[in-house]
Amino acid sequence: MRCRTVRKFLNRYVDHELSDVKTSSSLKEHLEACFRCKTELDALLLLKGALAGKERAQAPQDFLEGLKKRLMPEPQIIRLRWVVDMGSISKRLIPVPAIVMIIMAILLFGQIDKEQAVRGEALFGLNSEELLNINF
Amino acid sequence: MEVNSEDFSLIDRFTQGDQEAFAMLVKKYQDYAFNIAYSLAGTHHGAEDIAQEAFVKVYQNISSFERKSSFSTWLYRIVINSAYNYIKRQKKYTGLEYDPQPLDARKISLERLEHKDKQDIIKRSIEKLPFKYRTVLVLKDIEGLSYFDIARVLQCSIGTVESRLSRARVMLKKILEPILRKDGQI
Repeated sequence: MRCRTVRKFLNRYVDHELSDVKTSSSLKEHLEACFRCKTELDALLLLKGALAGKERAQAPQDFLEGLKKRLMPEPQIIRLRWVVDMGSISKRLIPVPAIVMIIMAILLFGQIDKEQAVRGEALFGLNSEELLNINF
Repeated sequence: MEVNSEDFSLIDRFTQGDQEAFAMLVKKYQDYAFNIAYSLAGTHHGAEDIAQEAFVKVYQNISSFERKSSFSTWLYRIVINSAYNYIKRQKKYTGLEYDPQPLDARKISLERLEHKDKQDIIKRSIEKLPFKYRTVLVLKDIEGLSYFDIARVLQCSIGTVESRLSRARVMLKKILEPILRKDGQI
């Protein structure tokens, strides 16, 4: 077996994925004789060993409780969202009554001015323009 | 990964409305899911987020599980997809990309390092790999899955698994080479 072929099968060899017995035994023979391929094999085994020795991380004790919370949001949160939604709607609607009130105020003051002018005419026998020109 | 009839019976109970059966499934697989997520994401906080998101997807999509593979194969696939999405989101915020730079051998010597620091170097080296190479390496060398099982999880051919694994190990060797060479291990 040539070095190139050995390198091709090296990963399978270290992973015990080489099912063909004949290929496996010729690979072993080559590795015993070839220093460079043996060095390559050692490096692979070193890496594999380092990774296999990596400590396994464990889920925290309250993992399931956290998951349950994620799956079932509390009703309070829903209610709060509803309030927030209502808030944003009310924010959008605030200018509408304000504008209506301003228009009503303008109309009301206009009406009062007219009434006052009419009252002045009645008292002094003057029209509204003459009343305005009176110099006290 | 063999088809586990106990898992299928828990899934049957869960689909019939038994919430306790779902809790049992979670308890059985939470550490597997968490460890894969941790190996891919690199932080406990990230791993918890990924693993929980994966179980939420299981909860919501259990009816679409066709039972052509084992439950664990399906779960691993969901965890890996969740991890991919999480890392993509993190990259968006942090701008971190694949960094093939070898570790600085002047500062590190594996032989002199404490066990905890060794673990940290291995973790950092894995994080330097692009996601698709990191995934096969984690599934093979940390989880100990066979090429066939990895191919089923990743929905690709065994040949693809083999070539990705080979490439991942070459990359990892390059990253760790200065340290291993300094220690005379290669």
